[in-house]
Amino acid sequence: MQNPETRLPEGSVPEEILQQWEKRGVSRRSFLKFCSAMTATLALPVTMMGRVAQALEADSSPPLIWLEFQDCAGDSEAFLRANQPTAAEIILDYLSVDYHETIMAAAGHQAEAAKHQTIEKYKGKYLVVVEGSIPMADGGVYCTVGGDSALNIARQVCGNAAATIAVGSCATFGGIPAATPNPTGAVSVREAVPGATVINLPGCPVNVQNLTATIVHYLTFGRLPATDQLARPKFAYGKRIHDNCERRSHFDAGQYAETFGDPGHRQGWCLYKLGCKGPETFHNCPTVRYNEGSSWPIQAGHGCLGCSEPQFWDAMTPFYRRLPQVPGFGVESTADKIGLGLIAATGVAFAAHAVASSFRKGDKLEADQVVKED
Amino acid sequence: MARKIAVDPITRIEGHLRIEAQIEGGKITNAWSSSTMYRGI
Ligand code: SF4
Repeated sequence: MQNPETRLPEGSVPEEILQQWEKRGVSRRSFLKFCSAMTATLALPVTMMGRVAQALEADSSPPLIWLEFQDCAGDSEAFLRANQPTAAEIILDYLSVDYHETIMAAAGHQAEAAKHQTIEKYKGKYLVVVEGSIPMADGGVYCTVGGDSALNIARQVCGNAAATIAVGSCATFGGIPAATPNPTGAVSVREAVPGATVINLPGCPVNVQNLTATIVHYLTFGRLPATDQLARPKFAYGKRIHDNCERRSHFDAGQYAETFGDPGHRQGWCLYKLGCKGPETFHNCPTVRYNEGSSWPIQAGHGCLGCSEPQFWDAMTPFYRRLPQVPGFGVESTADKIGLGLIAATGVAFAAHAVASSFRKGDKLEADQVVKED
Repeated sequence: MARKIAVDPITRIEGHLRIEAQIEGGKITNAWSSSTMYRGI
């Protein structure tokens, strides 16, 4: 208990918590950095930082089951290699990861037993992360684990969980396995297990900072963050890449790289003509970035592929050209198909060589849709 | 007498794998591996 006279200013992290983390090998600097990064990613006021830190201190850490289906383990890799700042350390330390095929020591029936134990003992309380799509064709034979189909496993594990976090574009929207012609009948977790509580964190791979922030939100508030109609958390998918892009001033000024390596490309001009799908893609890549916030595709000189949008493999190709049937240049013929009316505004403005005011209209519209968490 | 065991899932690898082994007199005399996931790519 704290003496009211020595009470810390709002938002600061109590000394005992810092000391406890130090004992576990996480320096106070790393822990504070982690809490402030999480608070910022979730768009929470700074005053919430203390509460975030306290949530990571409670005794009742929920167990976590990590399922892999039609995946490439890219999301697991992103999570395990994360050290922005020591995210995996803090989260892995705090949660008990009872099942994760890529990292667990047990194999075979021992592994399966660990999973079943968690489901029974923590029914309705554990968290699930799912990576990879679920094949529905031919009785689910295209993905089995321990002799059972991915579909049965997902139904059982996600159906009894407190919440399921689908990570990566395959688990959220079917991803590459579901691309035409989709021979295995691959679907997302939400389609395979309609009754489960699922939040979608698309991306190829998921940005681990968004995954960690979603878990931290759950631990802090006891519920998942607010989502859009595609079940994506608004804190991470509420804004368009194009609107936060560092090359945006070049777009507005009509300065475009025409080919890779040309003078415009070398000077960091806009990648629109090289196929950038930033105008159609909603994600916080420009602000959060990857690998400890060091860079992201557009900063590295490559256009956005739109990997976190539904059916990106079909909807966003060809990756290195603007979408086909472009009258003049700019207007997106597939705007309706993708279902983002704002793209049309972008295209028109582009043709008119970027009239900033049209974007402002779009920006405002969008800003209205983004609901900040309390 | 030959005995058959199956280890599924094989963990600490990327991907999905099942190994079946036939054991005779404490020795593995035959083994089969199956990749239990197909994405159609
Ligand atoms: S088109 Fe792409 S590179 Fe150009 S400003 Fe938009 S998001 Fe950035």
